[in-house]
Amino acid sequence: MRYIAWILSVLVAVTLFLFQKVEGGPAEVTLVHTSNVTGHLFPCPS
Amino acid sequence: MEKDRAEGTPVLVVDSGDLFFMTKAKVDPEKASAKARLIGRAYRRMAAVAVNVGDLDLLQGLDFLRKEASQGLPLISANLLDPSSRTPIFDPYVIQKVSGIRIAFFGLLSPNFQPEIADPMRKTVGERIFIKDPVEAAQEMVLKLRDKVDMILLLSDLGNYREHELVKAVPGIHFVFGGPEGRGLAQPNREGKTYMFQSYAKGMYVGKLRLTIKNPGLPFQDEGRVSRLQGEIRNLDRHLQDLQKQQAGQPNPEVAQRIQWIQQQKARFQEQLRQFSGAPSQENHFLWTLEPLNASLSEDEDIKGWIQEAGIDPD
Repeated sequence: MRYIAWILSVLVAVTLFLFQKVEGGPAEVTLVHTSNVTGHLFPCPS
Repeated sequence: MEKDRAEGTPVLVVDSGDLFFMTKAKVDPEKASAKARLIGRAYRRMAAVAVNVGDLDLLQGLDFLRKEASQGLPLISANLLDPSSRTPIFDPYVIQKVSGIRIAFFGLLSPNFQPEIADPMRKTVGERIFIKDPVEAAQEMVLKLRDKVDMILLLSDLGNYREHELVKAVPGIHFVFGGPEGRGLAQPNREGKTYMFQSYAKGMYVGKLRLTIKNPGLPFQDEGRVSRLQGEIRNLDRHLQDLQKQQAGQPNPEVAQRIQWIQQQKARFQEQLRQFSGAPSQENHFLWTLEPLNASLSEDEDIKGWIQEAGIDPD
């Protein structure tokens, strides 16, 4: 019984790994940039 | 930012310099320090990943910055060195691994201070700093980082002209975030394969760069170019309609020539648009936008509380 559980857990892990590789798609990253804030805690009206 | 993070998109907050202080002569140093400490706290709260040291950040001395760094603010500079050991005073770069992509940020400041801060700077940091040539520092950084990471980004307090010169001399930098001049760029500047961005000043706007990375080794395409081309075509169409109406009422050879020129221009833009939005590209994409920080955005209650506790009034 313990072996079956072990085999199943390995199978699930491998499947998840493969699924991630195939369906992963492009990576998305967002960069948020500030500059010259110069001590302004409250934004100047834009 | 919180919305993007909640949707599962990794968000990296960066600042390219001159975060803490301004040059005004009549600033109460205690009040300026209190505000600077709050700004440092707010950037830590936003989990900023890299904050470049700009020349104005040195106005209250190194001790303030060292304290901020010791409290967890990720201050970086690749060319701000200790004059005796010639080693960086702060980390020269940071590396972030997000969605399997390794991104390095390094920072640079200009060795030529603005005339209005040269004197106060001598008093606060004097002989305690040495600023290395930015091009040399950038060459060292790219050499060191290019085999370790997928992308190299520069946070720059150099100014637009110097950034162009640097990027020409040092290939291998993907993006440059700059802006000591306080201007904003609705569309990025480009030098070779490097794109350069600026996000205004005084917290009026933040720049948002959304990256879609298929293969970090390949060049990036500017997604905003499609909407800009569509806008150009719409403008030309409007102009064309006006001229055609005019021509229908009273034919004029000069107007006919202008119509022909606009039609050629439109065809050129349409061809560019067709090429750009045709077959799905294997390249990486980015979309750059400037987001105004105005009263419609909700405030972070904790940070609002810190400001009230400190008794700091609006600027």
